[in-house]
Amino acid sequence: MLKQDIEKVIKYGLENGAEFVDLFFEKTMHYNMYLVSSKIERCSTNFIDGVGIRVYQNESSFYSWTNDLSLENLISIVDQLLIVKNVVEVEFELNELVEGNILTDKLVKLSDIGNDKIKEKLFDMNTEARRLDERIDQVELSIRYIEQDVVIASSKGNYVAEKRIITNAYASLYITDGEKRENGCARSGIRGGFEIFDDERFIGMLDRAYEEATTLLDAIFISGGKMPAVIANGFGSVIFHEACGHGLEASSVARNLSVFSGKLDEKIASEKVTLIDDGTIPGLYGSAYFDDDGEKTRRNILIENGVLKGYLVDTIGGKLMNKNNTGSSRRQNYFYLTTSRMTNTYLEVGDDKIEDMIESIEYGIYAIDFNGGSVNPSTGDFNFGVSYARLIENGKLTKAIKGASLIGNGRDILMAVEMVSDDLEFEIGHCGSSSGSIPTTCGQPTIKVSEILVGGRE
Amino acid sequence: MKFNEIYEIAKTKGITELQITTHEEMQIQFKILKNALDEKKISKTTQYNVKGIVDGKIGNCSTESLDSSIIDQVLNAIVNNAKCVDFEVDEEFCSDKNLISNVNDSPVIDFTDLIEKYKSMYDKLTNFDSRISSFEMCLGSWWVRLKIENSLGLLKEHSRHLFSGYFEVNATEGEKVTSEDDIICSKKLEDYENLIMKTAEKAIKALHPSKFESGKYNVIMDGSVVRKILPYIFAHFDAEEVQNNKSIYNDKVDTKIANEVLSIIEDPTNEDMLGCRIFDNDGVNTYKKDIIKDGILKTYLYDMKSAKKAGRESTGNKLSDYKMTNVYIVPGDNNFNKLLESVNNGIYIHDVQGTHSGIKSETGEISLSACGFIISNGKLGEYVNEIIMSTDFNELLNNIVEVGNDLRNRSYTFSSPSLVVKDINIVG
Repeated sequence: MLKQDIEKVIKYGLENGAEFVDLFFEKTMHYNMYLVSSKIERCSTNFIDGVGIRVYQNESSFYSWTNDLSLENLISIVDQLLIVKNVVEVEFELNELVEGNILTDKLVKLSDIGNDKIKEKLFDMNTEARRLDERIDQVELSIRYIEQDVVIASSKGNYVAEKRIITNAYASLYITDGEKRENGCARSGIRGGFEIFDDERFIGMLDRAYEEATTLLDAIFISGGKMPAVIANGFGSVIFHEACGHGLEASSVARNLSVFSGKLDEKIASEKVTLIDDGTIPGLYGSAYFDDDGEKTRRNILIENGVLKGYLVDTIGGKLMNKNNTGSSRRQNYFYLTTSRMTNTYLEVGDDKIEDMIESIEYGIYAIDFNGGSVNPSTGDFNFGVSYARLIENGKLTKAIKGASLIGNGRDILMAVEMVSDDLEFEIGHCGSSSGSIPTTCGQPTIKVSEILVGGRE
Repeated sequence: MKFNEIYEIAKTKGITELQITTHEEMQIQFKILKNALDEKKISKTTQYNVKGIVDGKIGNCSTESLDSSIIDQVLNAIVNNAKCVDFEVDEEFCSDKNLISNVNDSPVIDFTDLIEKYKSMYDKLTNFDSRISSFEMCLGSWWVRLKIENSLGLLKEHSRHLFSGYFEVNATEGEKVTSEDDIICSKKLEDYENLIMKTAEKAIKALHPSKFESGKYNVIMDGSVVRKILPYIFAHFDAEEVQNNKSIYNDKVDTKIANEVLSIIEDPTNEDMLGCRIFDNDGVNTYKKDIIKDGILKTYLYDMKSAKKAGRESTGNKLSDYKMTNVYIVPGDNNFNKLLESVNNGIYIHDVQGTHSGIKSETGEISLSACGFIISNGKLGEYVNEIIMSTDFNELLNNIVEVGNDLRNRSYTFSSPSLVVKDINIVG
């Protein structure tokens, strides 16, 4: 759509009483190839092309999405969204277009590589996986590529464009040993394209999935209960994502629906906790140059040595909180009204030793890999699933454990962080909330918490 | 561009048969927060799923436009994708030439009065109990029209309309905040005030939860809990999962996989239920079927591709989301109070959280954050939360000892009455 037409749409909204208007144009290609039973089962492509329009009036957001991009239709939509019409004279002009890019020069797009090479890669991985162990009787491999072109324009004058590309991969191995059958999974992802084939986490996927599957073959259930826990690095940081990440988003904080509302500069965690959200890191899955309000992403210090220093703020959240946007506005696609979300959220390193963490525990668990989790930000109650763990008995790692979830309350668990190591690692995830499923990264070094409730079975 | 025009171009690229599914959707939705309108959303979108057969294999591409500017890109993607797929038998499209046209226009809904009604709900709640600290309600009208046509003469279309949403009530006392919620899914607008008040009562009770000792208990699972768990079990009845040796129910048709009190039916053509689909995404007519009868697994769920591989007919289960619709557990005879008497001492689980992370679908393990009420001498007692319920698919299905009569059809995929399940691990 031409710049002058976008200006006409925004101006129409402002002239008729809107306090804020923005448009999010998106043209995206999704591509997926899936292998199972040593065959390519599915290969599909999906094109989307549309616009989301927001009108903000009287502290309320009114939103519409359409794939009819005609000027007439967009003005008609703004007209329908306005709840109160006050005609005012307005002059409006967008700034010059600014194009942003966070993709590296190693980028390999789908058009650079083609189906045949991707298929060849999956077949090679399938062969490699089946060679790991004759007990492996099923291998699933999936690769997903999303190439998104966005143009964002708002009544603040922002007029920005960005090409965003993410690629993720998934491996799942089924292993059968007599009567026992187990499954191990691993994932990897980058802000980028098929250069993922050279990424360390991608290369190590099969080994990680195999380790999980074989460990689970001998895993037992435990009775569960409250106990200390060592939580491994990487995806273990889903504990922070759930315990406080969502609770620090303006979508909850601004409306006093978070347990962390009104707690700036208060101690909300142990001194060992310094939590960062940084959407600027090249290559990381949750990164972008601009957020979905058209503001530059940035590095945000959320918690520093246990003290709450900042929230994740989008433009509308900022209006309600009287704070500036922190580059944190994100959405899955134009079907969704954007809101404040995480990007790459990680715990800073400490200087404790993992062996000291384990030795300090008489009976507890060492949680190694995870399935994600969820939280209610207004209560702080969270849960996350442990794919596998090891029991700690008398300061030593013993049996493998399965079938456990960990639950708690965000306020309690942040205070319960006793030790933080220095082996920071990141893991990708897909975070779901009101503005849809978005790519994120969470990261942490290995930590110890003094107590958490662990599920179990007799 | 019209179907025939696209087909002519497709043939020049080696596509021998073409199928286009048009998915047209209109939504209007509002959200109330406390006593103000917080958000309102409206939309109208159209999406097309285009499939083509190339050398006996189906290539697939979705798009939001069939304009001449994009059609080449779409058809080229289909050809490339078809060449990539490996399949041992030739794929085909449905060739049923019986026309089906069951379309009603999108209703015009004016939510103005409803918005005003529910804006005043927060005042009613805080008058009921001053500890109520927040009320959020989201309600929307959702209309979808599905049309499927192909070069073999298939032409079927169908529309449906639902109201859907949720509400959430928070209560606060000192530093403690609790939250209870429920979903809305219905064909007609109802008065949700009573349901909201009941939810508020739960939020108040949750302010003073009781401690709960870990152990094995007989539980009553609310239908809304069962509804959250069933999709993960049903994924294993998908014929594609069976054929790929991923199902824990391989070779289990006509064998007992659950307690004989359990029967589960899929009834896609039932227009009184919320998920009515008279044909699936292959264009195959759907039909009512027993999935589990008296504890015995009666069938897997097939689409045309998995049916062809198995040398049998499709069961009409090429559906989005969970590959099934209008699935329900056949209700029993006893009301909720009778179930309480039957359990006598145990726990009533009325909600679980985190199914996407607490259920390991590949192997059937379940470990979920839960909340509910203690059952003591056949009556509901104190509220409990921060407990974890752990079991697995086999244990759950075989330990169902009683099915209640309180089936509520409040989801277009799965519905369940309350179930009595014995010997479930609870950690508190």
